[in-house]
Amino acid sequence: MSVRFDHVSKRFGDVEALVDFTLDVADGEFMVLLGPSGCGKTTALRILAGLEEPTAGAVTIAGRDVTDLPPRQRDVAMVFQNYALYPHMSVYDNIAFGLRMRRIPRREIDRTVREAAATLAIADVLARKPGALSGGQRQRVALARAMVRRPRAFLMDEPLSNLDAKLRAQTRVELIRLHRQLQTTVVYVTHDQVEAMTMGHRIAVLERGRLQQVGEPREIYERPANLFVAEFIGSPSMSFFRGPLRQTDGGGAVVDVPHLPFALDPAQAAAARGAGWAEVVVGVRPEHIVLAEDFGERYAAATFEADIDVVESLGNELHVSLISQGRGMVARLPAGAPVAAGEARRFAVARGHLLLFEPEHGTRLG
Amino acid sequence: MSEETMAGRRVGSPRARAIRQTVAAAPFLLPSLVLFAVFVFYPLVRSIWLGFHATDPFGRNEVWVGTAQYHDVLTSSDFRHSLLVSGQFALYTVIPATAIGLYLALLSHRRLPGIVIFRTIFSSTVATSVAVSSVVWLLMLNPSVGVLNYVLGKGGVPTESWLTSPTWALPAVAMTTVWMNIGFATIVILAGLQNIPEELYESARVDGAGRWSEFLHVTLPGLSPTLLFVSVVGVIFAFESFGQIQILTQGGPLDATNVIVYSIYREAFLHYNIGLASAQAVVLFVIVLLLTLLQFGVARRWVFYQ
Amino acid sequence: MTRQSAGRAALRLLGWLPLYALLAASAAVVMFPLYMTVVDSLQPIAKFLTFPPDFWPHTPVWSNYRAAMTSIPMPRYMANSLIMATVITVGEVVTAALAAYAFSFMRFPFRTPLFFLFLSTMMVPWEISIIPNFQTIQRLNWLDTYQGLTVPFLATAFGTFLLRQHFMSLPRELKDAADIDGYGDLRFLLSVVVPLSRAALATLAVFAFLQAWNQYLWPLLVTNDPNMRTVQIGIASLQSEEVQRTNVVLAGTILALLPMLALVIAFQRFLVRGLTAGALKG
Repeated sequence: MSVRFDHVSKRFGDVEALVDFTLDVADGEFMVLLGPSGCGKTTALRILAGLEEPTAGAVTIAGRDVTDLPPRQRDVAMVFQNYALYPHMSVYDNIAFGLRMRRIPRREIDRTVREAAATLAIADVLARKPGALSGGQRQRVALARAMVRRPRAFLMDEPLSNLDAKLRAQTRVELIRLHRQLQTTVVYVTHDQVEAMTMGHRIAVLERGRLQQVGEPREIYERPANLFVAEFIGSPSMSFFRGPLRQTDGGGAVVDVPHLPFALDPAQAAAARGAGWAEVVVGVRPEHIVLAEDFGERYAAATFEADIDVVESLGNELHVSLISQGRGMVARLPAGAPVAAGEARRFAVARGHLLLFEPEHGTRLG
Repeated sequence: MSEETMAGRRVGSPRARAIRQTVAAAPFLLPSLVLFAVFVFYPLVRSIWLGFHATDPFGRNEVWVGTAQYHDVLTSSDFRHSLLVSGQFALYTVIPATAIGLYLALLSHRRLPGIVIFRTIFSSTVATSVAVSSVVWLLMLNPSVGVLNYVLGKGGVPTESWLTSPTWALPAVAMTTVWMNIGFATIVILAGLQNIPEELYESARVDGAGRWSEFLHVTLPGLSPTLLFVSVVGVIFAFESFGQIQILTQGGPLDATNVIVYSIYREAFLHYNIGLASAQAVVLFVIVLLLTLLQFGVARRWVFYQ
Repeated sequence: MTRQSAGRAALRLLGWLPLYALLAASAAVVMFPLYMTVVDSLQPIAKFLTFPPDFWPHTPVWSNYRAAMTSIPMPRYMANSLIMATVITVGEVVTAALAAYAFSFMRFPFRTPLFFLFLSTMMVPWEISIIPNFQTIQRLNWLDTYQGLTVPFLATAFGTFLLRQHFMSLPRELKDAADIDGYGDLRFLLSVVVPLSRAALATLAVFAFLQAWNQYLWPLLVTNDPNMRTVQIGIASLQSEEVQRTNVVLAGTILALLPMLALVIAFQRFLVRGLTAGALKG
């Protein structure tokens, strides 16, 4: 079912945990709330679940205002970061717990529990207590418990954060598959951008209680609404350079970063001129910094000399920390690129991939 | 309407929420609150009130007498004597019981084969009541056939008729109480020891601490809240002691063991002087309260909460 | 276990020998008064006139125990104590669990001041309330009744405090999950909190039972009818009535003590563990 936050705010004493938050989640959509810890994403989720009352605003599920309803009347299911399994109950009872409250016939409950357990491959541990399960199994029990309720929406609060890296990657895939099969709305909270990018139909980025941007993963990555989103999304992070905007002959424009001027494309130059900004911040993704020798100068927005500080090899690629004129930045180079720490090399920034931001408010040009 | 929605509608007024929460919590809290009101708070007020009233020898016909009875209590040498006896009794019981409890707990703290048996023995006196321990010790303290005098006699120490000697009666009663209380002290201190994180010991050991400095810098600070608890409870217990006095000495000889509660009991339930007894109780309450606050005040300097 | 490690274990045990000696000596001292009581409760009365005291009952006189059971209505006293202690224990655990639940899982106005109000009752010693409480019970016509013996003790701040400390250590998400599953507060308390707090509940129950069974002053005040006296008062009256038969008095004392001793032995681990869950901090 569709979910809507309508100008929701929440204060805890003096702390504004959520400020005028408005978001529409379509029926069947997988919506990810993404942000650093303390950004308000969990508060938003808890308000949607009814575990927290908003200070102002309304929450609707399937078009119905549920703001004043207790959690049990909202018909949502939640998967918690620590799974919140009842440690004294068997896996079976944990999964059945929510159903028993709803006066569902025993045989029906049994069938539903076993079906969910089969889907999630935990049928063989139904008699065990959560303490005897591995982290991954516990995670599945938590999922099964949510699933059997056939809720109008799944709310998930960092459900993968307690798993090790390999299991997390596996479970991501399973969650995507599960969602495709169930077609139920999911609101998923995480601080992990990989989870957000891989699973979300759309991502809502929050920071300090405020919604920064909502959009599809690709859109958020390629056209971040502001400096915060630009810096938060992408790993390694974007590098930023600030300088005055200067017109050049022939209608072009240059961001005049000392010792590192960036030439803008004509379209971008025109837009920057139109906005009337005196200074801009240039954002460059690591994959757009390349070795100059591999690259035709005319495709470059800038070229510069840099010292190679650290080279981290990930097997399939290298993350290279550079220092140029006292400024640090990170480049992402293919594995086997001829670089070594301590060397000085010439690098280029690929043209057409610059992002421009207004320095004071951080809004992106375009 | 539209403007209100735009600005964000205020949900369920705080007042309505407060009422709803109160209604939900009331069934959980009322049983305790009602009992406290009737059997703790009302008696507190009532005792103060009774202290301002005198009664006839049948405990009836309360007459307002102002602060006269409080004045009597505070100036009475008998009361001051009782206060002194209670104070001494607290001193004689709390310090030894805490020290012995600490010793027994430290002794049986380590995980060794069969240690549970010793822990059980050390904590066993928690099962005894004042009546039981009094009867047990009455025999031990018997001047002519008691074991204590037998042992002392063997050791060449002069024997005593413990419970009838004005000098020794109070220490003797205190001894029975110490024995009765070491079980509780041991249990609580054992629990306190188990609350000290193992890493603290490990890090002390890595830093090269010996047994003694480990005790001084890890065990004792970690145990300080527990020791405070044991001593606060011990002082309160000591001032509440009654049964051992009634069974062993009836306040004698020569009022040497006439602790305050025994004096209150005699005043109220043998002489039916309810007003005066209440005034004594109120004064005692204030003293215990001050003592407790004092203990917490002193403790603030050396008690470390994790 | 290999032969070598078995040898090493034996060696380690040998190293602990001094500690064991100390433990045994301390245990002997602690147990000695009770041991002597048991010994003397089995002696014939003539032995009490002889000096030095005997440390072993060479001819155990079991009839002392029969005499203790019959010279006062001991079974009746035992039953009274059992009823009183059971009612108080159940009452304390129930009221404390309810209040502790509210203080740890519910939100309501004045929660913190109310909690301090609860704690403040620990500061009001029993002696100040004893006269008014006696009058209250008298006015209610509850003298010589089980209500009179039990009702004033059905709620405790200590129990509330102990259980709250334990409840607070349970993961908050369990409550959230139960909220979403639609379990109300009472259901959540009964089906999740209580099963997860067995150690703390057992500790509270054992202490409450011990304390109730061992009460002296209050039962002395509110009971006159021999049919309503408790075992503690029984021992004291036995002691004053059977001046000539100390061995019978001691037998009665052992009878009163045995159930509590059994309780402490059975729950020894619980007593310590139940207090360890941070109960004494703060």
